[in-house]
Amino acid sequence: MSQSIERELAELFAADAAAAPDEQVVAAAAVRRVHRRRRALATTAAAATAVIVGAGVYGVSRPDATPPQAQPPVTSSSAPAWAAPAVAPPAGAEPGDPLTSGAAQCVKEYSAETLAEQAFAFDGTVTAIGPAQTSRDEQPPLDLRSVTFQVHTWFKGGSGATVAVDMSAPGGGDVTSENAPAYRIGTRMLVSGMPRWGGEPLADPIAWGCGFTRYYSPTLAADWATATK
Amino acid sequence: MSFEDFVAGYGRSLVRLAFALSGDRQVAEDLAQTVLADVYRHWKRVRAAANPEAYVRRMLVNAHLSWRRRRWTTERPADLRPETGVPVADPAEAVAARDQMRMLLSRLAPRARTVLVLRYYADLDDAAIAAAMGVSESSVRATASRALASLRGPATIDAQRETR
Repeated sequence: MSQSIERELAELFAADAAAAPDEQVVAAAAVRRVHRRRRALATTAAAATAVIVGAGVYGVSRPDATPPQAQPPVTSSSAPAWAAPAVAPPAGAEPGDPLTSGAAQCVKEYSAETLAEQAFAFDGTVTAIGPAQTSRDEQPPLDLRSVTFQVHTWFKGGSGATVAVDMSAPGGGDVTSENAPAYRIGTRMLVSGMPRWGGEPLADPIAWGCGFTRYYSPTLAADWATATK
Repeated sequence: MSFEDFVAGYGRSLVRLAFALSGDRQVAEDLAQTVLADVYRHWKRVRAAANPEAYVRRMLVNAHLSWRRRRWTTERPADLRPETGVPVADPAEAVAARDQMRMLLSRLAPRARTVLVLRYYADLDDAAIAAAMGVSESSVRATASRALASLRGPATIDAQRETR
């Protein structure tokens, strides 16, 4: 009896499998799907960048537009958080590049595996920069800022529309850290980090450099989504 | 090994496995294409695996079970029969028995059907099935045993077949 059922199952599954189309056809369709998606993402990113670069820092020609702020900005934007216009990465940096250059004192090397170990990760745009929130009178003190983000996508560790994390100051870092990142209100980044003093992911959150925080790119965002799944 | 080499070597078995797992033509084509698209996008990672075929088989099984969890679809016994318009050469009794088996299979949980497909179609041993599904070997054996018992269950079905 048992052998009869097992034989029936084998024959039935084989009959189902025989209905499959040619694997080359399926694979070709799969490759086309990937290329279509990449073209669509590249077109969207290129169009957005062209608008930003062509129109200037805040990308508007409205008569009542807030004048561009001096570099690096360390005050909050007067615009509502959700209206913060996107800005391109600084000169010399490409989408997907890490914010730091010349890493020193890095705890671990950036990779998909180490990214997945981060407590929080998100895609967000800077809406405010202010005094650091996670400091505890450590010596020597680190030059940090509290950076508020409008979150577009949480990859892990959070769920709110906004989040504030400490990051190295945009204009300069202390001598023991990697070179200072360059960001301002409107910079869109992929950010990952850990709770500075332990505990829940967003308890005194601090963004990591060393490649774990990068200028936004659609392809990299898709990779982060996969790595943190 | 390039992606093209992988498809040439293992593509057929993977696409056919997708059809055996899903039991639904439309779902099977979409499943196979989606998994191969993921393989193509992440080819460096797949190529670096100790056993790329097993790695992709696990991707396929995970995707199949994930899809089934999200959208429960009732398997229809006739979905995968050839649509050639030519009368099937099988004896009527064999066709009826196969349809009956499909009906019984449609009542199994997705994981149970997956174990049966991997065992009786893909000819994997319990260790390989466990690796593909991310479960223990004992769980594979228990699932298979329960699934076969439920397929053997209705004694009247066999009795009717015996007396025709």
